[in-house]
Amino acid sequence: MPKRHKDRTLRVDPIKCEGHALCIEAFPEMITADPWNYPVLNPHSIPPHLLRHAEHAVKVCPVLALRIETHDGG
Amino acid sequence: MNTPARLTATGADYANLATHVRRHGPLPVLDAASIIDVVERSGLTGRGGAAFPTGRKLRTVAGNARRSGAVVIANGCEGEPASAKDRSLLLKAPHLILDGITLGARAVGAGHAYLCVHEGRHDLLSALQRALSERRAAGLPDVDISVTEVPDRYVASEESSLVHLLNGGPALPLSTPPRPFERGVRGRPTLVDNVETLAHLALAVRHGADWFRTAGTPDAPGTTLVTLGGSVVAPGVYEVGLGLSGADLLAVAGGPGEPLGAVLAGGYFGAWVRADRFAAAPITPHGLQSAGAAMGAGIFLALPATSCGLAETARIARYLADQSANQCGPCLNGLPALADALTTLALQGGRKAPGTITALSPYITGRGACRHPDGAVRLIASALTVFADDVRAHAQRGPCQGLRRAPILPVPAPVATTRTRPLTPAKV
Repeated sequence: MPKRHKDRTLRVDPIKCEGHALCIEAFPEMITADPWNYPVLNPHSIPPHLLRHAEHAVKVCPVLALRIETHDGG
Repeated sequence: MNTPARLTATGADYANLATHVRRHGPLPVLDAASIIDVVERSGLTGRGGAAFPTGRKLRTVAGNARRSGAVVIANGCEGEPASAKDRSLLLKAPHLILDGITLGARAVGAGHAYLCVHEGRHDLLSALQRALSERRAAGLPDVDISVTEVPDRYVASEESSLVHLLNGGPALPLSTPPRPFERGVRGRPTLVDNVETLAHLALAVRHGADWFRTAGTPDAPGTTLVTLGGSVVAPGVYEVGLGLSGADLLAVAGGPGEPLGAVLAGGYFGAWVRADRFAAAPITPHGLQSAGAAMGAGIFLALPATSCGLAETARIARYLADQSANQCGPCLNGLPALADALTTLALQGGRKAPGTITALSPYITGRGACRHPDGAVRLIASALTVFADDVRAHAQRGPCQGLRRAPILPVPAPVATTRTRPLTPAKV
């Protein structure tokens, strides 16, 4: 049986997000800027070795709009 | 042509309770499981725009509400400026809608229902109060129904906006999830259905699924209300069986008033279709999707061949940008940028606008809390495709002769909007 692992993805609340763009600086590997400097998230799951960067990006958001969503993978 | 009148069968300007019962029979006595079963087998889908299977929605809400109880919202707001069908039905056949609310509430286990209409519609409110008092006098076993007035703006009637309002907040879309069918009014699973959908439900439950399917097609059963406007001989609200051709649909309103260039199918949440393609398309959600448009709330606006489709779309694009709730960055920044580009193309010409629109659009679709920005992007994209010849002509020779014509599509007068955040200029 394959080992169960957690599938983690980035998610932004579009209403809370005010385009401060600190997450884009913190985690450019998976967050890029749209033409108005709002974050565009890579929809794929966060590779384990980048998880610390993702957590940092969540922490620097001044309006708590970014979070890491955990799904049970199989 | 054989157009079966169901919702409009009484022919009355206002069908009072006696007329209503004489034509349709009394409210049927069925338990929740039987109501859900009939509606599922009837194949009824939502008539508010999304065409979601009504039976499946009932079953989902009923399942979620087993312990907590549910709430019903009948959406009669008709946010689409070009639509008149919900208003027409609320005025003419309020008892069918109220029957549908009561049956829907019974199906999902709701003790309370809200019938939402836009604020300030005094004729609607008095027709509904009259109908409700007739029902009280007759002692009908109705669920408790409150008529609720909703602010008059485009996104206020989006389903999460209605839930937000009824929970004491402003009528603005919420970040989803949870969706209303999971957790809505007062945290309870909430059935949100368009008023026309509930009226069809009332008839399907009365007469059965087989009867319901005697109109329409196997894929799209039943009749539907449509608002036919623009250049047709007799604009108005009509009831038609689903599955007729676009040409036959326009013939219901007396046919085109002059040679047509295109039809806007699905209203301002739909898309442009070339007139020849529209004439051949089957009027069903699937048929219109294949033609690149949508059934939406059943709005069809015919544009004369000599009108400027780009100028018409630019006016709608500006209206849709103004109607943004200004909550989400991609919508509050993106829609005005698209409207600016399209307006420049329509009124001045030039080569830049199509590229700007194509570059910005992917950054708008799917990035709002509600689907408002997606609809605006789809409409504008369809204009660039369907009016591709005009795009080239405007680029080479500037604005066209069509600008001399008065605008065909209705756009409400601009209202002061509250912009909570400044615009950010786009980097393209």
